[in-house]
Amino acid sequence: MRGFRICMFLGLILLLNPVIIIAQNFATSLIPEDLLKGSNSVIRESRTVLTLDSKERVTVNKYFAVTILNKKAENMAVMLFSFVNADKVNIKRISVYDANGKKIKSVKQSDIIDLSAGGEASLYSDYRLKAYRHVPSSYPYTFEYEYEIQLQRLYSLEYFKPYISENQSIQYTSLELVNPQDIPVHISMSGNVEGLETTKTLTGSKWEFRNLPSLIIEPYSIITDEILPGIFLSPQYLSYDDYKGMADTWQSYGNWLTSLLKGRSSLSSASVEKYRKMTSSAANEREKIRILYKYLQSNTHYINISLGIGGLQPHPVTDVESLGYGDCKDLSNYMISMLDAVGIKAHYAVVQAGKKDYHFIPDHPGHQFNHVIVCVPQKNDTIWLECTSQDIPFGSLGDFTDNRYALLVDGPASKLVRTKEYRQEDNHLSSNLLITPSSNGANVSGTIRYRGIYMSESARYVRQPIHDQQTWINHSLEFTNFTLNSHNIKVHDRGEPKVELQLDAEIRSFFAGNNDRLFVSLNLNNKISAPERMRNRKTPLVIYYPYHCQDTLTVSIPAGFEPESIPEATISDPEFGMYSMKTVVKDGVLTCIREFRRNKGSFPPEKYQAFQAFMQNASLADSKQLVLIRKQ
Amino acid sequence: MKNIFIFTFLALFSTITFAQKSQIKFGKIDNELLALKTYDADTSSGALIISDIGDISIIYNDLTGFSVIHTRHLRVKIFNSSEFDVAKFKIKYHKYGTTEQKITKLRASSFHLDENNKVVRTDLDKDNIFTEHISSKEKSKNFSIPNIKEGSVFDLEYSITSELFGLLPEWNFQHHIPALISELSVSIPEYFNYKRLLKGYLTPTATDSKTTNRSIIWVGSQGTSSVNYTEYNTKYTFLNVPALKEEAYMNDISNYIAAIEYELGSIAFPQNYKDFTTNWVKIGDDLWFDEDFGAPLKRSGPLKKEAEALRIAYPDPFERMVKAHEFIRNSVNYSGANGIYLSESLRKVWDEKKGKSSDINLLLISLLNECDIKTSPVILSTRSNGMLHPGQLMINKFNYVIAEAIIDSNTYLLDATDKNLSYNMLPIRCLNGNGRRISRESSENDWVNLNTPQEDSRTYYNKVTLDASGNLSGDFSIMETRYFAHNRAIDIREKNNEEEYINEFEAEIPGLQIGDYTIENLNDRTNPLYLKFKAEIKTNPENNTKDIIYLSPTLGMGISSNPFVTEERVYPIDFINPWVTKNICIIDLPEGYEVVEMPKNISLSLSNNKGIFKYIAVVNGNQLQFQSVLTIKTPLITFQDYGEIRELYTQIVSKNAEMVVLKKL
Repeated sequence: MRGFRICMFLGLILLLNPVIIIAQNFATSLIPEDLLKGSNSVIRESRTVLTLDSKERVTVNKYFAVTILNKKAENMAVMLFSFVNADKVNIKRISVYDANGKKIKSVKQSDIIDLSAGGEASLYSDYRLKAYRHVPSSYPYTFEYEYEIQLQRLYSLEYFKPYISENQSIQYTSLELVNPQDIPVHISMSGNVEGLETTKTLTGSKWEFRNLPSLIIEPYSIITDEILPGIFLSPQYLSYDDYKGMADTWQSYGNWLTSLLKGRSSLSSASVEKYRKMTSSAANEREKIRILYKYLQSNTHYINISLGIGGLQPHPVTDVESLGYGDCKDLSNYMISMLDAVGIKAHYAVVQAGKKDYHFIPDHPGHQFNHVIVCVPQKNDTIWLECTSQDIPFGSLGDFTDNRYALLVDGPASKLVRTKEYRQEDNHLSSNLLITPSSNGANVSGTIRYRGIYMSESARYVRQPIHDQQTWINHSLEFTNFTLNSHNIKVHDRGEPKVELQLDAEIRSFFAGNNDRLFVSLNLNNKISAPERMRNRKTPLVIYYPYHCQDTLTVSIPAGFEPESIPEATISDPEFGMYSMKTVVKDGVLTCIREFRRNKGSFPPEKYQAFQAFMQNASLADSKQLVLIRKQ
Repeated sequence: MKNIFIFTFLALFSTITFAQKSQIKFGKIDNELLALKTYDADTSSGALIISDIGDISIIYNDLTGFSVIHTRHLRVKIFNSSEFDVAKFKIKYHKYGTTEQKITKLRASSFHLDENNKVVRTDLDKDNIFTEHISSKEKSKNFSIPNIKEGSVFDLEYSITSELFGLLPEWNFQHHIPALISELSVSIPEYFNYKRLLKGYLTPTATDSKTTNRSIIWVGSQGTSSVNYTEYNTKYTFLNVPALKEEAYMNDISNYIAAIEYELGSIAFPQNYKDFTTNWVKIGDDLWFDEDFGAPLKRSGPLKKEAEALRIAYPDPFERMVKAHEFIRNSVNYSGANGIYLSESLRKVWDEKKGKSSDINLLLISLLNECDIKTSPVILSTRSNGMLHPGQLMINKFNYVIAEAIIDSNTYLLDATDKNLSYNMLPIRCLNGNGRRISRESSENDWVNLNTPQEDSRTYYNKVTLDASGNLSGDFSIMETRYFAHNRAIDIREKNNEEEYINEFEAEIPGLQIGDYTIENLNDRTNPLYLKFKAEIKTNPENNTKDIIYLSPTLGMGISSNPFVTEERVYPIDFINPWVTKNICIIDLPEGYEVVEMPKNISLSLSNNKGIFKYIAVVNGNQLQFQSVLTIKTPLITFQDYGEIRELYTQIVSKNAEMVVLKKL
């Protein structure tokens, strides 16, 4: 009886699912030679079928077979996906084949792990995971799985990217859209889609790639989706619970997101009064925003609770205000409501945070986002607020959301904008340190200033225990053998934000040597290190963040000594940047001014060598020591 | 003024500690505490545990009999937003068979002063407590205490009830934030016998013990009966507990937390005595009786034929042992999971060619015995599982089993989980003090030292020529043994090819340009690993002749920074193994230059011969001969000697910054 029911069930699925998998021969010997070059794994066959059953339901069928050539690719032998309880999940098979293509294992359903997807980062999530990891007895072998999942919602489809990992090649991969009702779907190609075969089927389309070579990732090369092949599908019709909408334009997509926010932003009149009072004496609008942002930072914290549509919709602002916690949507919406209370218009801005390699497709309206920040347009400038961080300085965005597209959610007026880009002058690191000989070696005192992208790390330590601050200072400065007498880390956010570290320390081995000469390293902050020399560079060179360092070091020369050798250098390259070290000695005091600029840019692979040489020369010049000799 | 205030505040709490715990009442919070701005002992600490009061009691209930009740009352002061996350909780509870732990009486509230200095109390709402089904055996109650602001204080209270007498809750006295009071009271009826393990590097400020007389009264068919019993009460109090901090050269951080654990020894009701673990003889007998441990070792295993072949091919027992070990480690794949018991039968482990560490090593023991090499299991606790305390008999503290083979009077500790470690080395995870030999003859059971006295060594041997521009060229080599070699081999194997490794290695030394290179004995840990290369060190890319040349005799390969950054340390320094690094450079000097200054030769020692550093540089004709040696003979150095080792590194760093000076004639 039970067997019968299972047969019926499978029959039903076969009707729904038009994929027919022809039994493959997974012998490793059948992999073309070219695909083995530089590979730790080879995707033998990958088929993804998306079936739009209706405007409210989509079925995803995934078949995946990968040959794992060696231990470095062992994390490929994993099946893992998330779902919610309302979804219908059916894992059809998980099998393992040996090097000759002989099936050696069929995994039982009872061996598949079902666990909560919450993890440490989120407080609660109704998402669950199905997971299976295979432990091999030898290499190579082939891991195969197929599952089907039916989702009772439709607001995104798939950003299909054939490569799963670096050092991986692909024998065959396909994506198919089955759309019998002809529901409008946006289709975009991204990156290099050379060799893509597109077929129109009776009810949709099919895209196939064959024999894609191994993906190699090298240092200083942000391999973006701009280069890698990708196919982005998303529905023009949106549905999640009772929220229906369209995504034919960014305006309509923004309008749908606006509907999710509706009625969730009204503060009590007492609260409105409170925020007005808090900001009543502020000199200008920027100051008001600053006061409210600081209030948010010291009265709330980030906690992710993902329940149902909670993945897309913020909780009512009154709840967030009274609980004092929430996720990016909740806290951003709260921030906007506070600003609204004092008459400042701000926008809920959705972005794809984190990864620099995400290739945003601006002419493809749809779900391309994973984070929310706040945009406060100002007369001359725009203030961006990251509401989930307690330590990011006011007016700063950091590398999580900088320099990318964001959708300002504003009903039919919604529009795409760019977030702040950090330029060379923004990423500024400077120091002013004074060295005086002491009985223990030398005393160093002064200030180091961090701006732009440098600030995120230093700002995090402002409110850490002293032990952690000391450890950070020890690791981030190029002093060796030193004892901190005192230090202070402070954020200045009234103007352009910066972090200042003031310190006073004894450096034991500052003046090294015990005969007639003393050897002094003049670089105490941000020593330049050269990237590796590559014998065989394959991919373009990308320098993502430009920066500018300026350091002034004033050294009182110990009594009885005078300079014998003074490091001085100027190295400049029109494309990559410049390094200079200038020294002046006057009245027993040596003043050393060091400057380093590194430019932003993308260059062809052959330029890597010149870049490495530039950095190497700068690094060598930077490590030259001052030599002092005993006066005769 | 501020200081005086904090002093009285601390004094107030010191007195409370010695008073009854009931004086710290849920929700009764002094305004002084709410107004407190910083903790004097660590002014930048983001939060402070005011009190963490725990109770573990085995209590009789008319309906359910005895049960374990664990209650906790935690009070935390939040100073700033960096520690807001301490208000986030995931309290885990477990299910074993049909017995399930239950969380009851969970409540939490936060308190802060508003603008008018009025106390605002916010209670945790039931709707904001989530029950997460982590897996079929584990659940958790997840919540975040509401309305936490800078300056807030929160109270949290809960109980966990269960009939799991074999698993009393573990209690941590120490956390990542400091604590004023951390206290645990334990009440156990005379029927239950537990072994207690106090861990970490702190001792209780006070330990109070007493007994209480209790009675159970029940109504049966013959009327009312009663029984009296004694309850043993112990209270451990820790005051001013520092925050736990990670530092360089430490064992796993879990080894250092001040904590208390219990293992059930026996349950002895008047007519019903149940012994759980009592002594090593009994543990050994049980293990040898166990179908998942010793019993399969008493029978013929799945490798009978292979054993036969080994016996014939290798008449010398030592060689046979080496080959048998090689055979298992090359045939069976390690899944990464550990334990002391078999997860499958030996036959299945062999058929599937993979398993947990216990599967693989018990299979190895079975093969060795079948090859006529006397081999016993040695059970141990891995570094991440925690250090064992030899006085304790807690079988559940062991999580790993290896083999000990005896040939003539020599013993060999063997583990076959790592394809790249030969018979003479255990994986680092196993080097954790003592393990326990579980021999079939219980009289032979004993502690076995897992850390061997053999040292790891690294020798740089460089023979180079200095030219008039200050650049160097010649032959370089690094020779490494044991774990030094093993670690470098891991780094090399992780790369897609050797060239990738060489590229990265080269970038670590400014100006180094490697030409031809060879890597020898990458996967053979019975021989040293060699990295040999021809190279230039081009610190002067312009190649112009210099009037004065400054030459670092270490060629940039000496220790140049001190890993011991903090001034003080509370935990021992754990180098795991004794080790030695040598740096030998023979440098031919350019013609037409004279050496005008040389670094002085020195020798520095740690007390009690724990370690020594020697630095010798001499000029012989036009050749500079340089040698520096750092030897650490005692791998575990107590925190009292921290200052000494930090100073040694300080001096080494200074010394390595010194230069040889050459002047053009």
